[in-house]
Amino acid sequence: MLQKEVLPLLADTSLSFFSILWWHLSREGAATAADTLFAGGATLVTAGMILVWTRIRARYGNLPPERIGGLAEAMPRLALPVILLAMAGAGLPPFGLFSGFLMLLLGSPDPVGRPASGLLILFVWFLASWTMFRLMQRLLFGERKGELVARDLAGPEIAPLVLVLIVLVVLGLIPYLAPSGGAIDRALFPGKGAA
Amino acid sequence: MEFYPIALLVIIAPLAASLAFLSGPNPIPPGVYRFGTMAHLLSFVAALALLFHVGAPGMAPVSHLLLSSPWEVLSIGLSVDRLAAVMMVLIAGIGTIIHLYSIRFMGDEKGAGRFHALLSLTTAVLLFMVSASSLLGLFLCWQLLSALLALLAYNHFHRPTARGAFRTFIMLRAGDLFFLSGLLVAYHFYRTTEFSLLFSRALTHPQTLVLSLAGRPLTLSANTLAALLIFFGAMSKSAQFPLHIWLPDSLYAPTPVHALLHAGIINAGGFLLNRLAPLYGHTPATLHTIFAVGLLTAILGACLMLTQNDIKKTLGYSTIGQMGYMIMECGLGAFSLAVFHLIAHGLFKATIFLNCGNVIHKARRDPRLPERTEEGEGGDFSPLTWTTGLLTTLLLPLVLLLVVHGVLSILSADSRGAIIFLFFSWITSAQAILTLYRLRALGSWKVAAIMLLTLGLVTATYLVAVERFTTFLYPDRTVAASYFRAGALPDPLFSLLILSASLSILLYWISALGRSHGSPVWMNRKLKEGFFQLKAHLYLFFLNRLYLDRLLGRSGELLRRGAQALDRSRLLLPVGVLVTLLPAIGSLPSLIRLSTQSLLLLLLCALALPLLPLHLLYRTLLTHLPGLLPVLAALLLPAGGFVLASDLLPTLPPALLDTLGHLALFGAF
Repeated sequence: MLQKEVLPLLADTSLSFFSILWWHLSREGAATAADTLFAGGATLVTAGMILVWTRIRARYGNLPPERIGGLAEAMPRLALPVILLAMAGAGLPPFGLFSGFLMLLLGSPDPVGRPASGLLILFVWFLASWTMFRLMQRLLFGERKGELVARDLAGPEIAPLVLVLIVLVVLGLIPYLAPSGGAIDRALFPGKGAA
Repeated sequence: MEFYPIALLVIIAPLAASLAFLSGPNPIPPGVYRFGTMAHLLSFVAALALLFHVGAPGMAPVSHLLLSSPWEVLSIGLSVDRLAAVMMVLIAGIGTIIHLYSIRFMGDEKGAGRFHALLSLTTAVLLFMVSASSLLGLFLCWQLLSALLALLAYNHFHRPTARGAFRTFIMLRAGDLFFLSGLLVAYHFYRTTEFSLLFSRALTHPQTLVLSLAGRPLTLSANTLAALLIFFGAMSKSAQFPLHIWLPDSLYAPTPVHALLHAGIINAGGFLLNRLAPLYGHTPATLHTIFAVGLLTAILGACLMLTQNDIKKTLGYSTIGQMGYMIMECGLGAFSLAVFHLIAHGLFKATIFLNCGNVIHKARRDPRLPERTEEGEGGDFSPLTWTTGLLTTLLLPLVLLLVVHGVLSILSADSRGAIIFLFFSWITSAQAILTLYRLRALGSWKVAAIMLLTLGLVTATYLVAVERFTTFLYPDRTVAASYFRAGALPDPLFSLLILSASLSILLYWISALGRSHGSPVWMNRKLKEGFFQLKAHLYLFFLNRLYLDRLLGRSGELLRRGAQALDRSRLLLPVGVLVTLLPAIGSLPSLIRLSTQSLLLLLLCALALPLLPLHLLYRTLLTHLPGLLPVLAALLLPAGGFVLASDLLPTLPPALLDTLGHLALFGAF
């Protein structure tokens, strides 16, 4: 939360995500479907945000976001993926990080059985939402800096971001896409019925 | 005939409008506007049809499974009962009006397409939320609303607006997490989030949670815990004290957003309590807490409203007061009355907000506006008006006290509902009569007649219309009666409440009488000075919004400084890791017994899938690699680490897994 620069901030946020994953892995003693979804979601959100930042950095240099600001107006084609990635990073549906986190909490007895660790995980989740939305706000909203001229993203630059977002949505929908009793179902939900 | 396609149509129509606005060109062509209008109208008409269908005697709720999952808890469905149908009509109706208003309001603004898309999407999410068949489905929409509201409030140029939008999101997000905690508790104990199953299991097999507090066992009812946590979640959406501070900050947002917020989104808390009424109806302690929070919010909201000098802020605080009032009703078990209230409030507040934009616009163009109106207690004193006001505002509490204490037996023994309705009709009519007395725009006999009419009308509305509405929502009368019993305050406390409110009304009438004769006769000079000083202090206190913003700002600053000091301290990481590892000393033998290959693999895992304190490689690669390489590192390292960990973890001893868990919790923080 204290990081001013984008890349360290994203690295630390992803450390929080992966620490949540390690916590669950260590409690379960094995990787579950929830862990797979969560790991996939956290990886893609981090990679997607870093990709966004490399595009911005290519235009503005390594400036702090406050010196750039107001990109929603200057680069509307960039703004939509950033908003969606921030929503995914804040753990909102219908993205994979949300589905993974929800399954991870619902499948574990810890959040209620050990309230201290449950509260800590929820607090960290809250801080991650804070960080992601704050980063989005710093980049997209507020006064536009007049001295800087920006060119919006071209098609080939948007394509990987769109792909990341599509995969994130697909990950979020995987619990609904896997037909009951099928191969994906068996692979993803080995403990089906136990929940 | 299957009715679920109609229910789906209610939700899908505004969703289609949203997509049309999002994908349409800018400026928006008339055809897209026409499509949007038709979609919203269609949604409203379909909602009406649905209400007539489920409102017919003996009709079961319209239910349909939308998304099934092999993991049953994640399945999402629709269930439209009478409560959902009423809410759908309200939301679809107000959504249509706001859409029509926004067409002219936004005109050819650059972001009109995005704005319309977000408004229609928010309407669709609200509609889905009220018709969800499970707590999980409701929670999905609940969270989305938090984000959508913040996005609607964002403005490209205005810094305070962006700050307000961010604060809105954060406060609502805090509420989301309380809601999630309640959901987890409910699922942990009852293994379902589907409403009907959850209620039946919670009532037939109530569970308890046993915690250890300083070595002593602490037993908590799972129903009460889940209900309380979910209520804390509802507090943020419905702007209950002290989680109300986001609402005034969001007032820079465009007028249609306010209309939707104050008429729809803010009602989410009240709706949630109503949806979970069977759970709350069996946890009296929670209902009493809800009542206390509602009462405090209603009083503070009204006081804060009186000190505002900005039309939108006045309306904003009025909403907070009204929400407090609605939550109070829920706390007394009057769930149907709360729904009645939220419908009435939604309709009048949407109208006022949509109008206030015009008023502000006119006032900016015409310096003579707003016109100064004569207000206050100055002018001629009318004994008839004063006496009528005194009697009409203090008659009902007298009746109530006599009924509560069994002196007057006009109501049957099991008529707690009627007492509650009488109580609220008294509070509502007293507010109207006091306002009427302050305005004094009419001749005295007319004012007196209107006071009597107000009392009769309000009481009749509560006793007839609300009673019928209660029967409509709860055809089985014993259900509503059980809620009233659960929410009932002990008679002495209820009497004290009535007496306190009566006393404040009486003081008002006495002071009005005193002022009409020049000055309050019973005060000497010293007392008078003290009174005015207190009044000035209170005015400043409320004008500064109870200093809550400053308190929040300073707490945030302190936290930030503390965190910065910790961040600068080079000792934090090693000391933290050591403290985390201390309890793991016992697992050292198992670590020593681990093969070198497993140990190396574990180290590799922790480097690739970052785990404190071995996260530095991951962090360095992400922050120092040139070009697109950090993207590759962010994708490949955790993926590889996760695959390795999947194979390795089942072979690790439990003591070592515990240590990893502790390190992970420290790393997460």
